[in-house]
Amino acid sequence: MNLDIVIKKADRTFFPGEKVRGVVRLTSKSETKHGGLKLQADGEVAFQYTGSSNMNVFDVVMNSFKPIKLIEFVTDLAPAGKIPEGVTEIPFEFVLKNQLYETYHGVYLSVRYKINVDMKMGIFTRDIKKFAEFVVHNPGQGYEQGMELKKEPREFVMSPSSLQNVKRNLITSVPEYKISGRLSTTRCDLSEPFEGELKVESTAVLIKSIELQLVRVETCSVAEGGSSIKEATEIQNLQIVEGNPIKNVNIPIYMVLPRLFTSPFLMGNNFKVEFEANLIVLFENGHQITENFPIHTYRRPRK
Amino acid sequence: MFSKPAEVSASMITGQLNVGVGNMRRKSFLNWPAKKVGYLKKYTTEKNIPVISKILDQDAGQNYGDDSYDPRNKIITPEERRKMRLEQLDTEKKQGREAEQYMNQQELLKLLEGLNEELSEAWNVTNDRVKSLKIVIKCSKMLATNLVPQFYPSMFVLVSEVLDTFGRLVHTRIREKSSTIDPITNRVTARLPTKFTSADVSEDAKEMCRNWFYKVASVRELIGRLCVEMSLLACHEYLLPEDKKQAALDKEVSRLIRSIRGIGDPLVANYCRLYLARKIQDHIPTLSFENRSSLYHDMMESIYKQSLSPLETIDRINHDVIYQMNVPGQYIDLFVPCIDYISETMGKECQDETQFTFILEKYQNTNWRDAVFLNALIRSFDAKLISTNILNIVQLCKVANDQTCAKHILYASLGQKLCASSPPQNVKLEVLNEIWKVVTKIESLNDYLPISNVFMEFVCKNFSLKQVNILVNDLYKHILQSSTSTSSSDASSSSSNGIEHLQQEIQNVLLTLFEHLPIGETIIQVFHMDHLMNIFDLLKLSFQLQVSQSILKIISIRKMTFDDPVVLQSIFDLAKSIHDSINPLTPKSTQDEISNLLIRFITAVRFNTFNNTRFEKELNFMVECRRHFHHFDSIKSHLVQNTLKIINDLNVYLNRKHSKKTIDFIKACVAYCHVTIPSIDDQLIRCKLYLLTSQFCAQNHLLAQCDVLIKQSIQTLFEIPLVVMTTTTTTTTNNVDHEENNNNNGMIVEVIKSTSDQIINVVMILINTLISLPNHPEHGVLYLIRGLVKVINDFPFPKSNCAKLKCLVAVITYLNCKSQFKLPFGFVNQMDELFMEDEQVESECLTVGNRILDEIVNQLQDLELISDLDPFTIKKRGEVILELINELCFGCDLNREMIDLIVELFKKSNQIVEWKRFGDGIKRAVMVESGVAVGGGNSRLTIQEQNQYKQGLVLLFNKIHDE
Repeated sequence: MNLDIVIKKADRTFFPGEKVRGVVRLTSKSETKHGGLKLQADGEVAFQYTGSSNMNVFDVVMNSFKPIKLIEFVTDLAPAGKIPEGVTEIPFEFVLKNQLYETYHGVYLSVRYKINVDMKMGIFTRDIKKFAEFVVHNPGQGYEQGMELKKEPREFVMSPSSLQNVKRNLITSVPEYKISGRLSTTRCDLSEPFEGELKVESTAVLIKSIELQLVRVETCSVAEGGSSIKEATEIQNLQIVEGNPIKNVNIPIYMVLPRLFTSPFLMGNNFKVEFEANLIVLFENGHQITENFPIHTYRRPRK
Repeated sequence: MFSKPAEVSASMITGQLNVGVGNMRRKSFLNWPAKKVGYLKKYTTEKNIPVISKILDQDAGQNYGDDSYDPRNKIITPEERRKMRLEQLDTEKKQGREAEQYMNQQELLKLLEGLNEELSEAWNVTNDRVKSLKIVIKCSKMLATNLVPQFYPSMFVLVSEVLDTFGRLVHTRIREKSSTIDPITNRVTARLPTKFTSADVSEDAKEMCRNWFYKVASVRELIGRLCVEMSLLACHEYLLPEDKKQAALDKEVSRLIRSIRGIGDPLVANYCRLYLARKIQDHIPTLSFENRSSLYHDMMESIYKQSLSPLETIDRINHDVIYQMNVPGQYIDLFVPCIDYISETMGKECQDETQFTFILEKYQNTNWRDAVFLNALIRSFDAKLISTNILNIVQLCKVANDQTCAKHILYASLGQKLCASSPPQNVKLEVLNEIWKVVTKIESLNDYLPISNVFMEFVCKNFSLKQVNILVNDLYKHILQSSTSTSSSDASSSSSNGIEHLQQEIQNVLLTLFEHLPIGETIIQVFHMDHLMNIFDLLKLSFQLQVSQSILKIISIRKMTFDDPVVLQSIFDLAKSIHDSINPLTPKSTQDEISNLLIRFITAVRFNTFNNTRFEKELNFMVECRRHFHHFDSIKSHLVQNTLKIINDLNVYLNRKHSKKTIDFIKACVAYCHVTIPSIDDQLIRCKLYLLTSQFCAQNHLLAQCDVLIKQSIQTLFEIPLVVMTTTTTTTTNNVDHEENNNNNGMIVEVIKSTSDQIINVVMILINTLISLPNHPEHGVLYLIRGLVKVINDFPFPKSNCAKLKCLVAVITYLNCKSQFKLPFGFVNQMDELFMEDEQVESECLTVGNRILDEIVNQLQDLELISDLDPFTIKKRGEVILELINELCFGCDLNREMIDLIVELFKKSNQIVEWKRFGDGIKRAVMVESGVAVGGGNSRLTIQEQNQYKQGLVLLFNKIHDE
């Protein structure tokens, strides 16, 4: 007996208010008795914890943070009875709510949408359970009027004098360098890549590598205004320069924002998800400097 | 791609003799598989190549796609990252080079081949896409390490192979995903057509394609990511709608081009550019010129700023690598594949004058003007563009820095383009002068000769012999210089030693000269050039022969006349040397080629005086030829025919009004033939030539000579060796070959299959000739024909063959003809009247005729005894018998005896073939003809006699009817 959930959309991506359609496909080698087929669609903002460090702080939050149900839909697909031999397809459909958060897979926070199918079996057989995840895109999330039109390029120059978090007296020991560049915008439409360019103008020590790091910043609090935690973690890290490049040549900064792991700016009563980009320059002698750019992500509204 | 008709034909002509020029011109243009092989051979190393052992380790690679290993699911806080980094630094310090494993070239090659196979297997057999991607990323990581630069190009070739395989696999997989599958039978019901738009692609396939792009975009390493992105460039066609496709692809490629700038090592960066150029060539042929030129520009900048500038100012301190190479040019040489290919992708799309000048200006405006780039530009762009901008380019060539690419290579490329497309008329000479000012200063003969070769073609095509002469003089000067310089430096070697290894090259230059000799120039002027013959004399015999052959060829093509005996003599000497180079070991094909060449040469020689001394000169020339070209039957036979042609020409010239002197000249010609023919080995040819000559004699009233010649031909006929053909339809022997050779040259036309057939043929011609000749004054009326009959009787014809029969019937025809009042044709008009009425003639004809008839009957009986005749012979025999009946009806007294014979013959023909097979038509024709013969045709018969014949005929019909 084999149970599959087939969602009738290749990219499994839906918008709020849209109808989710699919079939439950049962493949059976012989006629099988069952005690009922149930389908349940779930969507929730959940706090999760998979790591091992900082146990104490998280304990508090974890215990008090209750998952926020976004959708809940239950239906019986088939009453108790018999499944004939061969392939049986049972269609289902349900309509999504109009107010939803976009799917996001984070470290501590996640917004997930799932379809659970449960088939009750006899007393001596295990019930068959399957789930399938689907993705919700939420146009307009994080979006403010006219955002896509007003691109604000962000210029930057990296040099020893622009360094922070360095003791002033140590700054002379930092080798001379100057890297300038610009990001075409810090307000990112998720369907567009993150773009910009940089230029190495001078450097006393050879550059080993320049990397573009995408970071998520997740904030949770027990209750509104209560004690909160804020954690920044890396999503991905792309190398954009390998070795010492030619001086004064524009090198693109380019990153396709990964699906699922990024979402539009997410803000709830007691949680928040923001994103940042770091430009990390590694020198041959082991020095490393980082330039941080907070970015605002949004999903462009549908016309 | 660029081949214009003119260029093609040029290389076709050069292709035969002169492989050095032209032929190579476009073969490798944008042809990666061809280039690839060359690069693998060129860039090799003895050193061991460090390979990071992690690459070799199957499990240590990054685990993409596997969720549990996805770094995005791991928690990496900035602090942890910093810690990881420190740890990494520590381990790097500790392990140092230990992490690397050394492999030699062969091992690496094997490793990459293995990976390629493993990739296909992971994809197709185990369906493990994740593993496939891992393998590909592993491979492209290898491209990032450039510690043995000498081997890097080869390594690139190998790794790009793996990348190509990967790109192909993904592409076909998405394609398959897009075909419709019947859900019940699992059979493919519809496939994606070869030409499709993104609208035809199914959603599933598109999603899969997007997935690949997302996955690839998250590869961490720059080089690995770029390589895989480039290898999947072809897959964009599944996603992009037709109207946005071009713009989107241009944008994507532009991004890739700029991203490559992030690679610091110039060698690595430029090989990435090469790979991109390849993918563009394969998948995006419509890419904009802007992108192509920006790719080129990036490459140029990277090479200049990072490798060509003086060491102090080089951006990246790649000194150790550059110092490993002894010469700076050697390091730049590693870039040549990139420069070539990228220039070519740019040149391919550039048909526009402005685009070309844009590129040229860009080159001009940089501070570095290196020949290696200029050379690539010249080679990549259309010859037309080059030739219209030629003055500018010549200036650039002059000032180009030749440290990276030797001047001679540069000028040779330029010359090739000029050959393909001529520059404008008004600047031609200036261009040549400017170029030659530089070229003439090149001292090494080795470098000089290829240029000389190319420009010889250019000058020949565009200028007159005057300029060619200057070029040849310059060449001679160079050769002399080089031979004296070597002999002075090395006293022990002889003076010609200096050009020993360059013989082939020098020969090529001369071949080119003759190949492309300016139109309208004669070979005579060539021989009057100052130093041409001096150069020729420097060559070794075997090379001289090659050149001589090409000279003869050009003569036979151009059909030149010779006023100058000295030139004729020197050319004749060349021909002689070619002829003398033949020995028994020379292959037959070469022999044939040479004999053909000589024959064409002999035919082409003309003497230009418009009086009858011309004929004498020609005859003398024939004598000369016979003396020297004794090796080939075909040539001798040709000489005879040519001499006969002289007689003909003379007749035409004099309008048949001969004087004593001219008659004597004709006699001399005939004598020449008479003397020449016996030296030919092949009896059949000899026989035919005798006959031919005799016909000419008869035509010119030289009866005594004619008699002798015919006698000789009859004698020779007897000597012809018998070649029996087993099947008469399709067989070839040397004889046949020979005949066909003769065909080419003119006068004997039939293709003859076997000796018997050939003899029949000759006998027919002979009898034909005899009819027109008067009877022999001393030996009686039928002296010659008797001789012929004797030969026919004695000739060992094969038993199961109708040849003899046929010959004999022909003799009867002859007798029939001879016994008429008036001959059907003849050279000597009055002669028939002299003999016709003679009783003696008739009686002789009768006796001979009767004898032959007996012989024929005997023959027929003999034939009947042979039981297993092949159907072809049976048919032949039937035909011969019918012919005979025809003759008999026509020319004989139809007395009872004769009619009996005819009836008997009819019966025989009946036995041999059924009547039906002959067809009623032929039967009736025979009867009607015999009827006409009796009825009215022959006016000699009295009415009484006619009646008698008619009775005989009726009798005959009745008898036949009874049968």
